[in-house]
Amino acid sequence: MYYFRNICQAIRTVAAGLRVTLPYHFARTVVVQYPEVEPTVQGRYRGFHAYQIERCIGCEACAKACPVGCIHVGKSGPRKMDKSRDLAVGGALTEYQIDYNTCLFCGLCTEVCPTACLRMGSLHDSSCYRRQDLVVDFVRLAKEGRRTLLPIWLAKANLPGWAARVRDYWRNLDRDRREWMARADDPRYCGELAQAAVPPPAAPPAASRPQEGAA
Amino acid sequence: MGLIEGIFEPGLIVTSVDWVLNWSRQRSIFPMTFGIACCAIEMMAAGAARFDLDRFGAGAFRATPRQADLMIVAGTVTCKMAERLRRLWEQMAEPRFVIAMGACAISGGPYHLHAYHVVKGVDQIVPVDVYIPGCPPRPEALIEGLLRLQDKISTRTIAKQAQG
Amino acid sequence: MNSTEIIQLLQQQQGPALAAAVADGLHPHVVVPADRLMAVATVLRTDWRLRFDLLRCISAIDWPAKNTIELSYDLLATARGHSFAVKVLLDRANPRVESLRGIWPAAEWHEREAFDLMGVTFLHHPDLRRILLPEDWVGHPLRKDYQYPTEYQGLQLNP
Repeated sequence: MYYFRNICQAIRTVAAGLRVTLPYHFARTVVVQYPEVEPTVQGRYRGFHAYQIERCIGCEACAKACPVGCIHVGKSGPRKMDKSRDLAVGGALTEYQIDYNTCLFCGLCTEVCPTACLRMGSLHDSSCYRRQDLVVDFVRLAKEGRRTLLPIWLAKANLPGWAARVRDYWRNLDRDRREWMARADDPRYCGELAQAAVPPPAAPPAASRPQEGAA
Repeated sequence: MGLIEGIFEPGLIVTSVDWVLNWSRQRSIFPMTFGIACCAIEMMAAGAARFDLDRFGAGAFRATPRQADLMIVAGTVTCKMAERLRRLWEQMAEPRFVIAMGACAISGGPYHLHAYHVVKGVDQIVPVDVYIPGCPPRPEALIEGLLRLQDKISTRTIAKQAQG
Repeated sequence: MNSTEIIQLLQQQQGPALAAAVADGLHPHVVVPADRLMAVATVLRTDWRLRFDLLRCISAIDWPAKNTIELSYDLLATARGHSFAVKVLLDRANPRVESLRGIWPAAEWHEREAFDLMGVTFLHHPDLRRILLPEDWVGHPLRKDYQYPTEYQGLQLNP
């Protein structure tokens, strides 16, 4: 009696297992043709940071939250949010360094950010030949109009189509807020009085921002 | 240093030989089976069917350093491992290359601040050619680092260097 | 057997050897003096009612305020299904205790680990070397007053 039940159970469990694995036997071979075809990255993936410098108030909450202490923030004075223009005004940000040598991509820095100006981007591949190239100063990048770092392979000339799209996406991101990004490290423009004297950029920033703002 | 390296002046023949040598070296990288920690899982994934390092001629992981010419340091290097790692690197035949994969190998990573036993950066032990950040890096990132290593190999020359 | 019965049995067998006994809580254990550890361990291993045949782990705990190093031997009887623990309090300046390698062979590596990281010397241990750290390491890192080294063999350990 038990003998036949064991046989039935064995067949049933093997069939249950094969129901999962057998379709892969007949499925087409799926190789991620990486450099030619875009890899599928989930939206929740934590890649290299994307940083909106003109909305950063320099509170150093990210630097305190970092478990390996790889974020260094330098500012000339206190900054605070100007809600009407969705900009941080006050002192100037002199440096915002993230050391990707030690960064764990844990996302703790983005969770504590009060203005949600630091987010995890989708770029995941940026190898370097020198260790100091991985120490990224986002203030310097913002002067070039960048939200995130540019991997050396994305700076090459003949890229596959998807890579060129990725490069252009990050290059054209927030084009209308370029002026404020470049000024974030300039104390004359960030000061409250100077802020009032300098007219805001032509395009209304809050409406045309492509990403989600502060919660 | 090989037998023919650094004795010829650069010229048409030398650059042609360079091109052939670099072409063959780029497309037949033999990595060493050297997974130390969790980054090795991503390295295995990169070598397996889905990501398939064999597309770049780098899928044959050799089990001995004497047959390998690429060491992918995939994981935490402890002080005890440092001596072994250096010895394995010295056993590899030239030209040999090193990829530091992941935060642990590059700088200590999570052990960067408060650890007595981890080497803060494998570049203190062996010269590293390509650094791949991530914790761990995706297999695509490892493939990308391998392509950067191929770029680096393509700039090698057997001609006499300016520094001598 | 539950832990109360185990303690009663040990008190019958060893009597004044037990310095303290805790029967309830999450970690029932007895505390024995270091020179009586071997006898208590032999009873725990060989008594037919106890039969603790598996040494699960040896934990060493550093108490600088009490000036002691506490060793906790966690035991399991696989056939009987009961578990228990024995604790020894050692002098922090010179922690020495008899090796239990002869009773539980698993103790060999556990004791090497305690020697490596805590500096406990196990007498009559067949092979008392460092197990995790390099042979030429200085100090015992899990001591609370351990000073982190700045370099090891020319490798910079402070970033």
